[in-house]
Amino acid sequence: MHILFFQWNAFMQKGIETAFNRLNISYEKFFYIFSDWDYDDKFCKLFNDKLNSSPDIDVVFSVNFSPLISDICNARGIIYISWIYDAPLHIRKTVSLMNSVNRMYFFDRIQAEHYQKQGILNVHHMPLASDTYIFSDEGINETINNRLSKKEPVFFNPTSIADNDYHCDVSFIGKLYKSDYAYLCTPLNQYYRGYLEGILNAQQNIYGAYLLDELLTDTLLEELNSFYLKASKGTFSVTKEELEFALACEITSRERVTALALLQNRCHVNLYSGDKDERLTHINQLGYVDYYTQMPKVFRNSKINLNISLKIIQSGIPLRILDILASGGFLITNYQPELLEYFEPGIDLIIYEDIPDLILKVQYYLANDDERNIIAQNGYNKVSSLFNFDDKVRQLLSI
Amino acid sequence: MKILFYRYGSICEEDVIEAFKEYGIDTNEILEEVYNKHLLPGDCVRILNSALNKENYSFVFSINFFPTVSDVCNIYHIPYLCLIVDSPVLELYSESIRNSYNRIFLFDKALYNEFHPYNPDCIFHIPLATNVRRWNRVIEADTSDRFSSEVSFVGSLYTEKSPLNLDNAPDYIKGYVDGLIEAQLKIYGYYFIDNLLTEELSNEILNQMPGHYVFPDKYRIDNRGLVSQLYIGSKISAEERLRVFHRLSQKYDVDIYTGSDTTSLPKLHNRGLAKTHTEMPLIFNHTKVNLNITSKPIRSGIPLRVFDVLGCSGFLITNYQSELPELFSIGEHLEAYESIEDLDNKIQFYLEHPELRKEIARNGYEYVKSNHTYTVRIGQMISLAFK
Repeated sequence: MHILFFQWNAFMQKGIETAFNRLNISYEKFFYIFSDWDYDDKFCKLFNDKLNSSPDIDVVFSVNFSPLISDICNARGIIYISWIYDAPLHIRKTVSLMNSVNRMYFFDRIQAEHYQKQGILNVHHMPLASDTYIFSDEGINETINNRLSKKEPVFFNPTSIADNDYHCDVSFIGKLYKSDYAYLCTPLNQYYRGYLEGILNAQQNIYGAYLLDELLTDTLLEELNSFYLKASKGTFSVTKEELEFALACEITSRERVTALALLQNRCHVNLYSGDKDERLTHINQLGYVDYYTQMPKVFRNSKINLNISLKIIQSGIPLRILDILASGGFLITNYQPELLEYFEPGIDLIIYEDIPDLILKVQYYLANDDERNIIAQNGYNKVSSLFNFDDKVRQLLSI
Repeated sequence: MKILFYRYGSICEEDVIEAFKEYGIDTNEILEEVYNKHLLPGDCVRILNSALNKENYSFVFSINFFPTVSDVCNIYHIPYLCLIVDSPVLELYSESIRNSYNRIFLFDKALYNEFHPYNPDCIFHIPLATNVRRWNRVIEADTSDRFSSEVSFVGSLYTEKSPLNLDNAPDYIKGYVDGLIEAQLKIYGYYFIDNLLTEELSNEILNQMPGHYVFPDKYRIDNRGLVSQLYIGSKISAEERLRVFHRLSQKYDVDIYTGSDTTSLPKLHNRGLAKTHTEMPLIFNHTKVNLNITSKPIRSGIPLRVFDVLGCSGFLITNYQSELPELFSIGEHLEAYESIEDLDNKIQFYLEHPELRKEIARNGYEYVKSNHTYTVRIGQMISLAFK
């Protein structure tokens, strides 16, 4: 087996490559940033040229699913393995999902089942992975030296952060999600604005059950689209996926901002996000952090790391959770069904049930250093034994 | 030992009296409320006074809670035991629930969590029960198959019990409430409407409804609970039952025993009201698949119908309620569904597996016979009340 590892600016690629090397897998790399994941003639030419010049390539591998790669592989009869953390899939050319050369591995079980039910073959479920070495101090230094030797910036971040600034009670890395929800509400009449707000509030109130999929019925979409088409003179309508994503982002945004707003007056909170929010005046808003050289330091130097998943991830374990634990951080997260298949709440990590519960748990664990440290250590051990790249890569390649 | 039973006509009163008798407790009954549902508090006081002056009673008992009875008992320093079997019971909002001679037993944990803080020493949670012996007497006496059914349900469609009327409300509120209702219809085991209504919105909804319920003097005003449970809860139940029976009646022979109007469901067999004591046990016993669809104002507890179906050796599929796994073993004593689609699939499965169905009904019967009879329950209540 000789693999062409398609790379873009995705997470996990470094860990996957390390595993390829450790497992003596023969591979070469192809790096490209799509301008458009669905249509890119320049890419197709370059990628075909690459395959022409390396006839021994029999497998293409990528993080997330590229319809263009899939179509090219399908025409050439080359197996295309993709490991997908994109939820929902941000591709429009879904017909490429049907290609028989595909071997798709979704990190979210319900998402995988969704595609299986549509009759798409070769869809599997595979949790993500995280590499404890890459996130260790030694690993960080290695990355920095590597970048220095290639004359790359050490931080892909406009401002570097002083080591002292990482210290805090609670930190959160992630978007605050300014969603399209308000924009999508504007053309609607009062009844449907109220209706969407009703289902949004219901979904926000329920942890552990996902309702949006069932609630956004065809009839409802038809009604809503009649308003959009009228307001845009026939040029704009939404798909179910678009509306679901907007609602999920809005819920996530409200949950994240509410949690941070309630925590900001109770403890020292650091927020690492491209977004700023004027309601979070007492929070230390520090902007983006570099995934490899800064993020692990954030996790290790925060007493508590918060994970508040994007609502659309129905069952799976987001990469953020694994990265926090792999860095030795102590984690409080929302409930995700698949967590319980591997982790024991209260032993390896902490799960909050709703925002009031989150506040109580933050206060409790800030006051109990020893417990926190033990839990972080347990979480670290679980991730290094159950979510390492070597095991996952073996399974992905069936070796 | 003698007690005074303040009756109003609930179907389980006879069973409770029978159970008291087993403990050697004799019962005198006050029946005025059975025949006059608008008995004035003054008349109630007068009747109780004369009864309590005439004879010494160890305690007074009722099904559901009567504030006047509670107040009189408090003056006489006689314990007042009552078992709540419905929800919502608006009398629980009365200030009288704080009386120290009360011993109030709530069958629903959500109700308990809500009211217990107002009188922590005197309010208890206890499940409902059934009278297996009574049902057996009826079932053994009638071997005809006039009540045999593929699928049946004894109860209201709730359409006439749903007083929510938003005709005059602003469209935004109509939409918001409809959104909440649709979402709640998808979830079993967690009633969240209370959490999603503000006090302000609840008052606004009430203001749009002329003739809405108003809490009397000396009641704790909880308009949010009122709108959530009495108004929206009943509306959700009506909607749920319409959808369930619409779907099931397309596919199965479904009999409903009800006083409700079912003309919108032409394929559903409306067999009129069933007589509780003489016909209901035969229906439960002779039906292949009995349904329980808990009304939404019962937020966590298990309604009487569940105990009664099992007590009649009937096979039951019920909606999932959060207290269900605490009381029963799902799949062993009864079956539970978590969506209408799931219910449909389970009905089909159990119609095709008669042996499995019969075994579960048998297990369910044996289980309630030893654990959930009124005899067991009254014993538990007395020991909790006088510990």
